[in-house]
Amino acid sequence: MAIFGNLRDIGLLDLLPMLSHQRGKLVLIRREGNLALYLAGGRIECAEEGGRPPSPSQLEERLFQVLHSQDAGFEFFRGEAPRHEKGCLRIPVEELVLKLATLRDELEHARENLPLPDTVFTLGNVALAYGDPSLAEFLDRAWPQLTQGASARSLAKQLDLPIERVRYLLYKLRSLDAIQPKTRTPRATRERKSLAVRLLGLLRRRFGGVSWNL
Amino acid sequence: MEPLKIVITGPVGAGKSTLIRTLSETEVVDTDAIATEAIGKPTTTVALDHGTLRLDGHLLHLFGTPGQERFDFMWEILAEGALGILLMVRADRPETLPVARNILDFIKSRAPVPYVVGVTHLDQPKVWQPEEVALFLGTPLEHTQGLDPRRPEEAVRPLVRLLELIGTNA
Repeated sequence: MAIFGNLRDIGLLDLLPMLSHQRGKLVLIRREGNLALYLAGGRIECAEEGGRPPSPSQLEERLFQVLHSQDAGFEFFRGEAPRHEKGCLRIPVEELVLKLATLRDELEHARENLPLPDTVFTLGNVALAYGDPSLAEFLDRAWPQLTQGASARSLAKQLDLPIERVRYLLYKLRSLDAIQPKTRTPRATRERKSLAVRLLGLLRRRFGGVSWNL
Repeated sequence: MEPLKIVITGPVGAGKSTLIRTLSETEVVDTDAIATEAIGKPTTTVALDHGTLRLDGHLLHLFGTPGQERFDFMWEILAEGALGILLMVRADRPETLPVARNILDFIKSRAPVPYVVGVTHLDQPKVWQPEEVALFLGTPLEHTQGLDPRRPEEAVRPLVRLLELIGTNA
């Protein structure tokens, strides 16, 4: 008998703990490419994506992507072991699931306040951000793009990260003033300036000498 | 003569439609719909509000955009070639300030258009003062203006401020 299905019906956060004490290969089937997790003894012993082992942070990002994927499937091959030990991770599933659940909850909590996907940000005062390892790692990766100015959409594409994850990280960085919107300074032409002065006079005449006052 | 437009945006319920209705000399074209979420008022703008103000030979178009994030694509389109942008925020609803900051960040980074922040509902018992809103949004104080959008002499204030800023290129 095979264990298979769609992650829309059986969520990753249910599936991983359920299978973590079995020995076998869990394949997460995604349009972007499959991810294989070798499970045993409550741990992800090894992982493989495109024939290569991902780093722990890459694996976390991939699983976060899978968590939000609407069309990913899975199949578990009982008893299958990794062909070699090179690059094996040995990550406790319980710890990983807790981390993914926390990330998901944080994202849901902040969803309404996430920066817009096309707002262009540039670096601000980054010192505080380096107190948070996940922000520090993201900043290091996104540094060249953010130096020039980058949006969540462009960063997600260039860094191969889920856009919602990038928006959340940018939201946290923005809260710390580690990034700022890359302001495009308005430059009024002489015509616009004189038009503004003319309109100002007309408005004041119409509305009775209104002036700026808080 | 070139048509002039002012874009009025901001979170839901900030008084954008009210301001346009107060200032417009022509009948306001609105696209209000019954609100399906608890937003503190029975209807909300789902496409655009449009009104006009004629000043001698100049026709000023006032465009109000929906406050919901899913309409963000409209802000950039409307901001193109605009004389200025007025971002409206409610002084008594601090929970909408992060959304207002997101809109302002977007506008500042996408459209090189002068802006003023209009702070409404200052008559409520517990409010953020305009200078406190400016502090949160990270905007210079001179870009912030308190107003009651129901009163013509106050509704016009942010436009005056905007024109003053353009005139001095601030």
